[in-house]
Amino acid sequence: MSGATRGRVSSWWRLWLLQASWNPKTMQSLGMLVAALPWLRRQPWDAQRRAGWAARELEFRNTNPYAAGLALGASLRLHELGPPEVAWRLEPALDRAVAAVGDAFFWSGIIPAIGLLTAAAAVAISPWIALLAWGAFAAAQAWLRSRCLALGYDRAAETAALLGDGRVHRAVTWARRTGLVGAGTIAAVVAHAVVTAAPGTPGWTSPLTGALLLVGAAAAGIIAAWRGAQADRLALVGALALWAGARGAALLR
Amino acid sequence: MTFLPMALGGAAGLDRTAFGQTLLSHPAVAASLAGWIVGAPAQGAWVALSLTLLSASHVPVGAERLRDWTSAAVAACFGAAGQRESWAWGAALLLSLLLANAGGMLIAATRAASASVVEGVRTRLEGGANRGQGGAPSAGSGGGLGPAGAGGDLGVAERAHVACAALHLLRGAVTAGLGAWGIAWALGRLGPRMPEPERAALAGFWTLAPVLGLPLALRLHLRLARPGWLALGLALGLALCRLGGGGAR
Repeated sequence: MSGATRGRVSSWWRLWLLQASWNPKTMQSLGMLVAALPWLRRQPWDAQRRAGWAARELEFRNTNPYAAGLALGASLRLHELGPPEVAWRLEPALDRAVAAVGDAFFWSGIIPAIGLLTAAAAVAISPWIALLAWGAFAAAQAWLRSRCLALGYDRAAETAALLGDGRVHRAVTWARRTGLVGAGTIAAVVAHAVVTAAPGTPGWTSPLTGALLLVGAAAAGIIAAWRGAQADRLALVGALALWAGARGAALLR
Repeated sequence: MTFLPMALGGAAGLDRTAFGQTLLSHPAVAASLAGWIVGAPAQGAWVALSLTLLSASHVPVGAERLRDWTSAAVAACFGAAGQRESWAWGAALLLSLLLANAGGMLIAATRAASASVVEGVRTRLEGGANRGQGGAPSAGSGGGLGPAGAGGDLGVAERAHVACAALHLLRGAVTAGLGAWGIAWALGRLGPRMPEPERAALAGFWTLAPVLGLPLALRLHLRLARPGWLALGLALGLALCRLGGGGAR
């Protein structure tokens, strides 16, 4: 294995640790630097220049962690091709472009979709589905991280143009559609589970009480969604309302 | 039994942000796995579903207030281990929501510590860069980590980064371990004396918690795609229920 290949493999696995030191001030800067170190150590520079380069890299970096290889590969190639000032000027734009597409694809699409579909299938079929989903996602992102790093290094400044490709935007659209499919799937599973299991719930004294509670919970959720409330706070308020209702019913009896 | 929630909580806490982000930390996976470990796969899957829906409107970008759904998922399942009644699982789920909020504060504190660590590394590296300008010899500045006398300064970056990852592992282990212990303690202490109305309310919460979170998840995803895809999801969900013979609960 050549030094360059060894360095790329080392950068690839370091990208898995990209956000270990994530913080609101410098975000992924140290993670990006640590992933770039195999490359930095191959540069024919003296220790001062390396330390200066590394300190400059620590200022601020932030992009999507799954696709970060694109930004890292491209910026390292730009440092090889031209003066560092040009690369440092382009880095923030590259990071932002990768973040825009990566966040839309992963955080708004694929990850919620996998989470919703996995949770629905775990309840409806078997919890083992969750382990399968975990393994499949880990394997897929291992491949993606490697591909992104290679692609970013090969394309350098052209990486931004690559992100504007129609296929990338279609992938984002499909990821978002999958998210809504996941939401529909979990809605059906929740409705089925609540309707079939609720009569066995203590306190579900009659079908009417059960129906009222179900409609009340759904209405509270819809109002909260309309007002943009946080789900966990709504759940705490819902628990308090259930407690007040149960206490009130006991007093009336 | 204390070791298992700490081990899973630590691994999942690491996966949450610091290493991998492979979805082990997602409540859907963490709770399903924890439920299977404690011998309550159906309850674990229901915790997974409830927390997935309650966390669905929290996207981990921007200035979103942090919640530790991972530790909540692990602690709820391990804390209610051995319990068979739905009110006990409802209580565990409710307490796990409080833990998610407390855990979020710990994550914020860990990140603040990471910011200090990065600042320290930067100061060290700038010191290394300025030594050359002052005429000091460049080689032998310590460490010997890289070729051509790269010096120990670069090694400082690696060690600091790994230390931050270890902090996340520790945070996840402590939050999930303490959370599971606290929930188990509360159930053991208060459970036998719990009056009937409170049991009924907690059992109702166990059943209805996902119903509360569902509209928020639907609202979020309906903004991103055409409603027709929702119909496809509903059909898929009903097919899953039919395939699974009525659900794991």
